[in-house]
Amino acid sequence: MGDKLKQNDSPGVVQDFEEQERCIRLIAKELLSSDTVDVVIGFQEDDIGGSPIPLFARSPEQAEKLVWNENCWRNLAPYFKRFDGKVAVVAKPCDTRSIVNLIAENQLERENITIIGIECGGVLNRDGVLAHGCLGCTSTVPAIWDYPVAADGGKEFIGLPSPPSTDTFVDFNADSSREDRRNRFLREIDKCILCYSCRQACPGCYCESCFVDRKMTNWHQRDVDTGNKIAFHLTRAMHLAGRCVTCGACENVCPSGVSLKYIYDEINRFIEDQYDFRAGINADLPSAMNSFDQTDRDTGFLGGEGI
Amino acid sequence: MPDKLQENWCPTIIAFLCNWCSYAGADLAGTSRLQYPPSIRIIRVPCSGRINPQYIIKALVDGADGVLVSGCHPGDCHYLTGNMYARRRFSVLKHLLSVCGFGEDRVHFTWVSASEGGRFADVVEEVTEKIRKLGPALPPRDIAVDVKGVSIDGR
Ligand code: SF4
Ligand code: SF4
Repeated sequence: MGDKLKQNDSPGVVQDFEEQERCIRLIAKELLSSDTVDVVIGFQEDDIGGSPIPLFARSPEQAEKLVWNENCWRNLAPYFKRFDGKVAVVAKPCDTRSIVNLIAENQLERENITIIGIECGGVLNRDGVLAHGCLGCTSTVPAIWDYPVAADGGKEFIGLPSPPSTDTFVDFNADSSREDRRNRFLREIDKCILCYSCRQACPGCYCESCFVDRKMTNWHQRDVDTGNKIAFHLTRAMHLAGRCVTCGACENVCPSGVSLKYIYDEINRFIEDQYDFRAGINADLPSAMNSFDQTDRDTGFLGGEGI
Repeated sequence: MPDKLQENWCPTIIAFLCNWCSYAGADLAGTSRLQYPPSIRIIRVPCSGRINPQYIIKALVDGADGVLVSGCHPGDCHYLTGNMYARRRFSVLKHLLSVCGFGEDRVHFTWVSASEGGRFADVVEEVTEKIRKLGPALPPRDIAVDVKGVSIDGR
């Protein structure tokens, strides 16, 4: 803990994790002792030495265990829905985008959630390298917050530089052939073991009953073969179209190193280009797939515009 | 694929048609005795907005050579706005398939109204011809064999 992230190379603008952690604990303790919230969701050290795991602090004493460091890559959004009462959450910018999405989709009441918004210039994943969602992330500042925790521990966000992007699929898509795209996709899903961890970790995949779990209609066969993997990943990508907040949780948790976020990024770019919509920015707008415009183009239709 | 087989081969195309326009259009093509290739298997749905993209994906994964989806022209939807939602969905699905390089030239979307029997026959002709050129779809289960021949770079 305390090591400065390597990618933060602009001098003078560094993220002070320890100072931020101190602020988070202070805010959490205040919220809990004043009974403003019932529980604070944050990170705690993992006893067996892994990356920090979620902490559900219900008393100021428990809030002492809150940690915040560069290994806190988990997205905490999938945990809110388990609580009915007032919840406070320690949220990175990507977590706040997930929250905006959940509010827009009527999964959360804004008044029930208190957001401790953290300015974040990128975190490391399990392997100690910049996490997948952070590569090329453009928002280092939370989308919504109640209590700001700036990079230096203050209340004014100082504007951390964005982490570098190593893989822009937009470029790849523009100058790759159909074969390249097919090979890249098949190479990635070849590693998949259909464990559905990506669905489990995704803040957008909150359905009580997922299509892969429904046996009666037999939507989805469980055998791990390429056809079923294609069906799973394409359907998940369709379900996340216009809703993915590019947090990278799906890649961070994958046990086999399947890297498909490039598809979600590219679909996001397409939706922004066609329908002028970005997920996780404005909680008052319905998502792109939940709305329409009379003037939408027939993109991809027979005789319509090509893609 | 030998040329000869390809010439005589008729693809299996799953056609999702909206009850109010395209299905009636197909009916009109029939009652007008218009000829079109016997390649399509029609599934009648209440509205193009009822077509879950998963239906299309499942058809492809289960080995259909092609998928044709057709509904009322924008503005003519029996339920007023169903095809408006569908349009966005299909545009995104088509783009998704093209990003993955899987099946994007086997899936076709169009609008056919109840009075366009001739257009329906033309669309089926056109789509069948496109898919005939591609040849039979490789069963997705066998695709893994294909991957082995692909150079795997480092990952
Ligand atoms: S699909 Fe992946 S990157 Fe997108 S919201 Fe879900 S977990 Fe995050
Ligand atoms: S977490 Fe990885 S291995 Fe598991 S289903 Fe998702 S992509 Fe496949």
